[in-house]
Amino acid sequence: MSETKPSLLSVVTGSWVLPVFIACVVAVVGLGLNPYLLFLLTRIVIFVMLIIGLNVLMGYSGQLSFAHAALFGIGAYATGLLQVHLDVPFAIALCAATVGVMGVGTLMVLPALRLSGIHLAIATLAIAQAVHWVLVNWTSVTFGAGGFRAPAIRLFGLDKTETAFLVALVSTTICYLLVRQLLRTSFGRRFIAVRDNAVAAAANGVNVTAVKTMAFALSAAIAAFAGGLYSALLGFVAPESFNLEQMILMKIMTVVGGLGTMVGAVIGPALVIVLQEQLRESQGWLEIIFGSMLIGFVLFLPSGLAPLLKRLSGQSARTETVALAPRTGQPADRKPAVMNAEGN
Amino acid sequence: MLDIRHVSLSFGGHKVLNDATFSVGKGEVLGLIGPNGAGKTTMMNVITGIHRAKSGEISLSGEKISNLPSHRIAARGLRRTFQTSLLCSGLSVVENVMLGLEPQPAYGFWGAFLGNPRVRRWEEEAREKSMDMLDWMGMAKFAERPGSGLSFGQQRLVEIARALVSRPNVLLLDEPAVGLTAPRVDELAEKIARIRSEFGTSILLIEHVMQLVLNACDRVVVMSGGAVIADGKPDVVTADPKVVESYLGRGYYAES
Repeated sequence: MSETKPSLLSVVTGSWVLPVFIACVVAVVGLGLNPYLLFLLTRIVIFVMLIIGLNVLMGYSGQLSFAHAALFGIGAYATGLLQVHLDVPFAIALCAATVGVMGVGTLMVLPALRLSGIHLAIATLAIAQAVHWVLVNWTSVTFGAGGFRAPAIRLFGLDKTETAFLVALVSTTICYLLVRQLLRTSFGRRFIAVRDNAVAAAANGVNVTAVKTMAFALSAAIAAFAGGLYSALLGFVAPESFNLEQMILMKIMTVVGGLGTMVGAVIGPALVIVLQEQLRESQGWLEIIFGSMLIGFVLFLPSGLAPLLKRLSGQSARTETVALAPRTGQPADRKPAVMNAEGN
Repeated sequence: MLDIRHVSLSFGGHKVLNDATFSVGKGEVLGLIGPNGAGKTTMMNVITGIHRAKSGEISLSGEKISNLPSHRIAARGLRRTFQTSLLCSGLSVVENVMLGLEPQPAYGFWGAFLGNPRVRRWEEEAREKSMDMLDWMGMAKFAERPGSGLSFGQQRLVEIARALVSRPNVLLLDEPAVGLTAPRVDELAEKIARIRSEFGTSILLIEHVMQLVLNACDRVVVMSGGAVIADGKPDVVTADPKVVESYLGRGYYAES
């Protein structure tokens, strides 16, 4: 059987080389920017991580959740409050928040086992609103609607934005590589199978409950980690940073970038945040433009920008979720295989 | 191999399965026929754990499988295809077939997450096995197409490949000949015979195309109104007055 050699382009784009190279370029460029632009870039990097997690849940696994901003918020609050109330170091607070929110996210699979589509969206929206209510009203712990000042982090003599930028960039790059790796295995196929048809997936041996639980837990853990980093970047944590408006913004990022694509999770946040900053002066137009964008993408480009860019560059839109194994031979050239009773 | 004993099921007071009893022997091809609404697909859904029987028992190789969830029944070696092809449109054809091997990955979440070398080996082997299966079905040239990028008939063949790739003990085929031309139906009958002879798989075949039932099946069970009304050799069953009356119609013999 002949084997097709993978092209140099596919080796570079398919391995860790290109993401790490891009991260190094972003690091060099970022550290040369003024504080405002560096803050903006760090926000993009953190949202890339957040949307990677949301994409696992929504794009790959097909679970329409509206509680992601709430999980992002719990991560930010837990990281900040552990430092403020208990003097826990940032790294430990961040890890504890991630594990804790992963537990909360895992519990959110309970409605997802009985509900799907719009019904699941409403159930998770209710959870998000309940979380928002707690953040606003449990003032003795959360400091209420006014929020609280989160301690800054500093490493290697860098200022707080530079430190947050580098920590976020390294974490997001690692997150991107690990999630991409996961999605290229049997786990990625199971996510997609549950999204496309849960009954057929189960009939082929896929444990739908386990797959949904994993998707919720993984996306919650990533959201919490991103939330913790966001608290360090902002230096101030308040409920309005994690409300329904933020959730809708996250959905726009996911749809614009491309549901179910890793590259889309990078393009979406970058485009939306840059646009948001460009239109900050004319706030009234922002909602109209984002609303129009969302309608336009859903109607005319439902797959988002990532598959479009891939098509334009001549690559298959399905290259991101293909299995790790090399594509063996040209199928048309294969000799017919005859199996014995054992299938050998 | 597969035993269905006194299985009953009701939907909203309407009895769709009524004390149905039959079995599929080892290496046997059993046809399950009957008029629309007879309960054939519901029976298949009960066997594969999609619906739960109100009463009765189903066992596979002597082991009770009633009330188990679908994925656990599949992992015990019982696979099926669906009346309407249910390939995953987000996966390529070969990935759809690899899905049939999912219950047995030799690695866990952390192995996959961290890129354990065992992952690559398993994935290579799974792809190889799936390509061989596609080749066997004559579908290898479509391996890299998206699941939705095939004709209806081709999707049916890929679905059979997906169900077969794990070498199940029992294969349930729900109307595989729908949408196939007469020559394709003959090819399918030949393929079913080869599945039995080469893999030793027992097959339960729901079908309305009598050409396929008569060519492929060792025995035929006829259902009507949720109950089994006949069970025997194809030529005997098709001559049964009850079967002629409730399903085949008096014109069947006039035509044949």
